[in-house]
Amino acid sequence: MNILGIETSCDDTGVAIVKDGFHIVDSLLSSQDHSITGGVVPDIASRKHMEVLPLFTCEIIRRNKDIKIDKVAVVVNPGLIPSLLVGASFSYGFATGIKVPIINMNHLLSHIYAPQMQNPSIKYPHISLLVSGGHTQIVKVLSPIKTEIIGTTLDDAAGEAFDKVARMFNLGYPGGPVVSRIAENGDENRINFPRAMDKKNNYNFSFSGLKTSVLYFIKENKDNVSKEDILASFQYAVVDILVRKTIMVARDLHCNTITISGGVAANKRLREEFLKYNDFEYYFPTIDLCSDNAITVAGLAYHYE
Amino acid sequence: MVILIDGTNSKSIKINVYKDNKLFLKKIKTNINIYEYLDKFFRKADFSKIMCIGINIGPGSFSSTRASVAYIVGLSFGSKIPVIGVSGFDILSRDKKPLILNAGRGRVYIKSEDKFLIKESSVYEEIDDNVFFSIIKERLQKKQFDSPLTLLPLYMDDL
Repeated sequence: MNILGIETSCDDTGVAIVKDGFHIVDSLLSSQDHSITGGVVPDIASRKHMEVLPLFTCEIIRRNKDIKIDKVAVVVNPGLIPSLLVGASFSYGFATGIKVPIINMNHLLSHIYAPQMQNPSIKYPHISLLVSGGHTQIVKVLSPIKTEIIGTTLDDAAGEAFDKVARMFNLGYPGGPVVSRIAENGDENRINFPRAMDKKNNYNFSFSGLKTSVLYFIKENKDNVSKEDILASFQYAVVDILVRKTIMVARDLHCNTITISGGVAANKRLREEFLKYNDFEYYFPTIDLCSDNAITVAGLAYHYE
Repeated sequence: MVILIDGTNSKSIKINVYKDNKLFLKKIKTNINIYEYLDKFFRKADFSKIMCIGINIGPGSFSSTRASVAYIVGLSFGSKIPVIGVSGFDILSRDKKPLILNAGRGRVYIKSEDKFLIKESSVYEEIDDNVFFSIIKERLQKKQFDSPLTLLPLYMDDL
């Protein structure tokens, strides 16, 4: 079964064809540049999707003329509403035009599916940490399409905290990769930034206090402490709480397998920290499947009847 | 059969079906999910009988205009039914009515080559369905279709 997946939940326009849930036939992805506004402006992102999505769909169909599309899958939530609206509207029209069923997809489940898609023999249930610019959750994955939320952020997402701290240093948007690169040259133990909600049996996160703590620290210590040390210490505060809470959940729920997904899953320090706990089996997606894409949308859709 | 779609009003979506140059069916739906409603309509349609689809590309409500245009673009590309995009300004200027459209929040859209002083106004101009249809019919006869790959809504700040 060949499924055409469409992703427009934020500022990336993705189309992909995946066969039988795991085999990538083709994919196209376009990312927008919102650095000039310091973040994604929903209406601008939506306009760009209107321009790019029909062209991408035409191109992927043209490149795969011999492939019969059996279904169309589109992300309808969560995300930026103007962006989602374009993807959903176009996809519904296109699916009706080619007379195939349409499947509504959840953006978060699509992210969580990434390590499963690249490791079909993965065991269920397992614990998944979804960590990105828009979301931070720990979920128990019962099957590709069935999850239970165990913990979530009560305010900022982890990736969002990276972006906002990056802005404090005028490092551009998105800030995560730049912060990580600079942090490599810093001492992550120089400053002990707060880890919020760091109690036993508390599976939720909070990053807005950490962000504020960094802001005040910079104001008071800018001339005394290097940018590298501040960013390294900040990064470690995020990584530390993400890893320890995920491990705590996995132990409490007796799951030996942990997957990590979302944009922040590409963070090298996060991956290193997880591997210190060597009594678990870890699955990270490849870097291209960490960020928003239509491949996992099309792959996951296969598992819905 | 020619089908006209107007989704520029944020409160409602309008579908007019013309057969043999006469209005055959008129549907207006308020407060609904636009793409789901259009999909319910077109899933039941016989594509072989549709000569073209005319779509009002705006100006109007950003969200509803974009949703209706995006849906029709997807449908046209998938089904190969020709599409013709027409702006509300073209429809109104054809009918020789004043080129003023309600922009909401006490503002108006004005199209003119002369300078206008834009004032607070409660002017509202309803799109005349017959004028909309006559424009579509003319372009259909001349086979002046739009490409679904490049058809975009008309945004206010592009004017």
